[in-house]
Amino acid sequence: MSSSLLTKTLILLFFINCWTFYAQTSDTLEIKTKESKTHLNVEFSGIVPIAFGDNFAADGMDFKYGLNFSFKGYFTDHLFFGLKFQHLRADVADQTLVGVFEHSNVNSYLAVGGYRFVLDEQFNIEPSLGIGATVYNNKKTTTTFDEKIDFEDDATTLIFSAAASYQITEQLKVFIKPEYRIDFMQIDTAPIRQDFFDEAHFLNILFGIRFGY
Amino acid sequence: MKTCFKLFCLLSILFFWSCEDIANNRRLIFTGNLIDENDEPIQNARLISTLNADLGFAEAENKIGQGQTDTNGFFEFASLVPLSSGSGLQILPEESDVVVDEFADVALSFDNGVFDNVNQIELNNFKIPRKATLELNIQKNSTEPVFLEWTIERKTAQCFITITELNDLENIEFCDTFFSISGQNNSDNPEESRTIESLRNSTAFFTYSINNAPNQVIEISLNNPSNVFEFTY
Repeated sequence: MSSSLLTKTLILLFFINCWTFYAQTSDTLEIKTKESKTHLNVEFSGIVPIAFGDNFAADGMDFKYGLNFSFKGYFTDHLFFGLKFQHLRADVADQTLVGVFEHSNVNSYLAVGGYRFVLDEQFNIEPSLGIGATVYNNKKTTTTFDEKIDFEDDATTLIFSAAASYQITEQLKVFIKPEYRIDFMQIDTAPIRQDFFDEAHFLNILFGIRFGY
Repeated sequence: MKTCFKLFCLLSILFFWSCEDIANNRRLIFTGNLIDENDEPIQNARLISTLNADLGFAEAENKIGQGQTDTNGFFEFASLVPLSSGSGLQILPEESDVVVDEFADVALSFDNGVFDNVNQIELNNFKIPRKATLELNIQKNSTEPVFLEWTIERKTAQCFITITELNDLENIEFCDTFFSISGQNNSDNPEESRTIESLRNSTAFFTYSINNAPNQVIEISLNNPSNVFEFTY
C-alpha cells in the first residue's frame, strides 16, 4: 500500500472512529458530564516514537525518544484549542538511504483543537487534531577541516490523537495519548526516490501529566 | 549602541549564512553500474560522495553520501547536496570486504552548478580498469662511458576527471591520460630500478637515447598484473 493511500485510509478511519464513539456515548455523557473546573491546561509528556511505512524515517532513521509540551484553553466544557511543541530525536540508521549525517532533532510547532468527552469525574477522553510546521535539524559533528554538515528538512505536520486521562487531584491529571503523525516533507529529490522522501509516518505513544487551572 | 547591535546582527547573519555547506530540503541520488576492463560487473565496490572536490585517493573524510555495488555491479544511494563547493565522487572498488589494490583509483569532481537543477546522477556501464605494475630495471654492461636518457610513458592508474556538465558523463574519456617519467644514467649513476603503476591491457612506451643519438622506442604490453622490463646498455 502506498504511503499516500495509507495516509488517506488512516485519516478516514480516525474520523469514523470519532463519530462512532460520539454517537455511542452522547446520551450517557449528558448525564455524566459535570462542569469542568479547569479551563486552562498545561501538558508535559515523554514520547515513544515509532516510525512506520516505506519512507526515509522508518527505513533510514532510528527514532529514539521525544518530548511534548502543550498549552490548551477550553472554550466550552468540551471544545479546546491550543498550541503544542513536539521534539523528536533520531539517529541515522542507514546512510545509504538518507545521506551521510549522524542525527536529527525534529522540532514541531502546531496548533491543536479537540473535544473532551467526560466519562466520569476522573476519566476523560480527548480526541484532537493538530496542524503545524516541522523542521528536521540534521547534523554531522565529526567533520574535518571547516566543513559544516548542518542542514534542514522542512515539513507540514498533521497529528491525530486521542488522550485518556485520569484525575489524581483537582488540578493534576496523568494521561496516555496515542498519536498518528504524518509529516508532509518538502524534500526535492530524483523521481525514482521522491515517494520515499515525500512523507514520514509515526505512531507516537505519549505518557505525561496535565496541570489544570 | 543601536549601531553596534545592528552590526552584531549583520555579522551574525553573515557568519551563519557563509557557513552553510549543505542545501536544505534536497537529496541527490547516484545510480548506475560499474564494469571492469572486460565488461564484467564490479562487485562490492564502495562509492563515496564528498563535500569537497579536492579528492585524495585515500579514504575520504568529509563524506556526504555512500553506497555499494551489488553482485551485478549496480548501485543506488542518496547523497546530501553541497552548496559552497563542488562535490566529489570517489569510487573504491573492493572485493570480499577487503580493499584490494587492484583497480584504478577513481575520482570524479563535479563543478559548482552541476547540481543546480539536477537530482540524479547516472553512471551507466562506468568502466574502471584494473591496475598493472611495471618493474623497470636498467642495467649497464658496457665498460665504456655511456650517457643514457630515457622516458617511459604510460596511462595513469589515478583517474581524476572534472565534470562541468552532466553531458560530460555520456562521452567520458576516462583513465586515458598518459603520464611520463624520465631519467638519465651515466657512469656515476649506471643503474635504475623502480616500479611504475599503470592500467592492465594497456601499452607503455620506453623511449631512450644513448650518447645523444636519435630516440628509439620500445613498446611494452602490460597484459599481466605484474610486468617486468629489463633494459641493458
